[in-house]
Amino acid sequence: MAGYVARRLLDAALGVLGVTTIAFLAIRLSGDPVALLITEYATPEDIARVRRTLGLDQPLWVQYARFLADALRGDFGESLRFIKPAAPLVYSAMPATVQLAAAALLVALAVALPLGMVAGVRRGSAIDGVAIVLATLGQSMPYFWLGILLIMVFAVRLQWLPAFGSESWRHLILPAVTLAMTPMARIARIVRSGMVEVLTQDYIRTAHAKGLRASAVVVRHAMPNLAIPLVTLLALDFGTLLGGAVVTETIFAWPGVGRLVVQAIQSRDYPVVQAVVFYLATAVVLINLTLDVIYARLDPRVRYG
Amino acid sequence: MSTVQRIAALVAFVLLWTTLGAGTSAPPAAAQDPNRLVVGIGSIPNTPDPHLDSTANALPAYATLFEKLVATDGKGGFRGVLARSWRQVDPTTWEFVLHSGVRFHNGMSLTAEDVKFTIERILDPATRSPWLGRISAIERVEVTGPLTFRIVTRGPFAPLLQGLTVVDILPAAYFQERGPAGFAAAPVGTGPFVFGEWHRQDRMVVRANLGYWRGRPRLDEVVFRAIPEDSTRVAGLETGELDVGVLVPPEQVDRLKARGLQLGTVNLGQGMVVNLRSNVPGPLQQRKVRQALNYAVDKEAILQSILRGHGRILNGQVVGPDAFGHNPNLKPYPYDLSRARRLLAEAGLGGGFEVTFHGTIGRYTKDKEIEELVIGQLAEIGVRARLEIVEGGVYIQRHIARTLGPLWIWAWQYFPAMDADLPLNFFTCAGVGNFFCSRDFDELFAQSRREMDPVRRRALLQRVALLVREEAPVIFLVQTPGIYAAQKRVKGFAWRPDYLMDLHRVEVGPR
Repeated sequence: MAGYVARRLLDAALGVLGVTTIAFLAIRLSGDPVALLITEYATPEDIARVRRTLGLDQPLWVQYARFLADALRGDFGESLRFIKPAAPLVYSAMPATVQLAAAALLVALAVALPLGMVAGVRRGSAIDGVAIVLATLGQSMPYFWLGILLIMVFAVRLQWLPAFGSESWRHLILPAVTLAMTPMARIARIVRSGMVEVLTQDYIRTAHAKGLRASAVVVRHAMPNLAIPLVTLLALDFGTLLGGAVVTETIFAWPGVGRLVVQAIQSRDYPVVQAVVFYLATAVVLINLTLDVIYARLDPRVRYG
Repeated sequence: MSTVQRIAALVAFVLLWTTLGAGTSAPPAAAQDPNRLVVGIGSIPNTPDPHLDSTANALPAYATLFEKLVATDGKGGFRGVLARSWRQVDPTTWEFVLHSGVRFHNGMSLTAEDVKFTIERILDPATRSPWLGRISAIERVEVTGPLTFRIVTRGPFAPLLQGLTVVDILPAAYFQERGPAGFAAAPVGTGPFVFGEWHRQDRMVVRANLGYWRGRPRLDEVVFRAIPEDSTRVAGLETGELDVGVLVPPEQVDRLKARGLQLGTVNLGQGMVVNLRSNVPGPLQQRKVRQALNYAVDKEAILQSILRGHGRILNGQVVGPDAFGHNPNLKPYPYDLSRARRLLAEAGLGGGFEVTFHGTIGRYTKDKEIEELVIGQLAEIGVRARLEIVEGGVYIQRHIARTLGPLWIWAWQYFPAMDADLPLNFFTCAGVGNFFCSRDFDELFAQSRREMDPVRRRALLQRVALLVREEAPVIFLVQTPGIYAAQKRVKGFAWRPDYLMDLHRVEVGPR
């Protein structure tokens, strides 16, 4: 077990390094951040001075070596826009995003688990039809479109919920539902098809045969076997969720990491972009790692080979 | 409990805990209080320190807390704010007298030392103030008395007052005592409101300065809400969560009017054009071709069908009549296809030509629609422009690096100084990201910068404008509209061409 975890940790570190390197290169190849810092009267000398101050006049590999050395110490440089160290900016925006993502996952699970289960058990029924339609819609609706639609209906028309902001739990509902739609659809799908498959297994027939109630068969015998694909899906979806948060946060003026990085990219605030990419990559990799370990525990057939 | 159940319970607990627990601390900032004004704007200042953010959306919020020495008067001149009077002693020396009895929010009196400190702070490269370029011609500030000081420039620099319209005066002693971080946490100015709260990328709250030297504001509190998405801002106006919203898309105006909101349009100090790169080999090097493109574009169609009547057609210059140096005698290029075709033929390009047109989406009001319309109209005279959309983040950089174009959409911003000098500076052969080069232009423009007499300087800038119209280094389009909406109960709100809002006199009635 220890050897397995150690090897996976090494993989994880390499993964983070790879993603961070790509981000480092991409942001430099796509534009010059100096433009952010100059105004109308700037002279070529002003621009050269700014470039020197930021070390942007150095060869790319020197900049990269410096970046890596600093990043290892948790120092991503100073945000060009906020004129503050980049890493704490990311930490302070993190809770809002984690909250939004957690709420979305909660909504997704709360709807998708029962729906998928019932749809799987009652294959071909009306509920199954509803589940399939919902799953297809959920996966094909863009966040942007859905977010605006929800605002139009629940904030403008019905006036039940606020249109934007992050002050109370009521502000959380619309963005969480928006963000929940994609994982909800995927979870419902996998639970349904898993259920359909599991229900044909011998041990289910045995359970029925020994006189268990149908609900008990599903909850006690079928569900545990669904846990494995579900855990895998959640791990994969975590990254998708963070991607969706970028759009959702912008629509609902939610002050999280997603908005921070959108604005940082727009203004080529590269220290912030690098810090966000580093921390998000680390989060995704760590969650995947944790779930892999859980996975191994859930399924005795998985060996830490 | 089985392992599965235990894990499920743990996951459920963690999700519930984070959902309910994290981040929810602040009181609601909805428009409940009758004397609070909630303003929806694309973004709020990146920091409460006014010397470190020059983005347009930050300006109205800063203006509630801080004041400048002078401001533009909307007629091409200047009025004193903290400065009671000023005069020029010699071509490089200006003498200022401050108002007496002005107090900072912490009770300290405003003195000339504060001005000296402020200007020196911006001039210090270590501050990294984006405003440095506006006043970098200043060599030093000499304090000559408690309320008097002199500004000495390196050589004659006519647009000094224009530069000072962006300089927010900070309290020297307080700043030095608290340091930059301490100041940003509790900023102090002389403005009509005092600092309340600032939440990054979310909102900034300011409260009435009861001891404001020009009388207390009528509002008790103003909340600036950062709402980047236009549709969300409009929704916030419809739900009443916002009292005021700016940059309303033109197509939403009728919808908001039907809901009983007040709507207004201000022509912002921003000239929208298509820049034409004429300093590299190609068809655009010929003046006739550049003029032909101007004749081929129907500005009225842009104004009416895309901007729905909001905005103003640029009359053959990059600034509107609200700018110093605007030439009232110039007319827009008329929409005249046969003349455009004739000019192209005279330039030996009767068959037209192919060219790349760089555009943006969402950078300027209705930019994509305007780009498509212009391209369609250029096709009428055989100019086949291929539209390539460039991501917003790299647009300015590619402009500076001269890798946009030969045609690209652009808005020349001239607020808050409202002076033609600002955009025209980029039309010089040595201008940053320059795309046009004319010795006559450079000579005339340099002359305007040395000319210290405002009347003669205005006349020189007007001659520059005439020359620019003839040379046609750009396709002149429109002055960008700033459409804003306010709830019925809001009284006295107006958005200004220099992007500022006079919130000092705004009132909010009961809901």
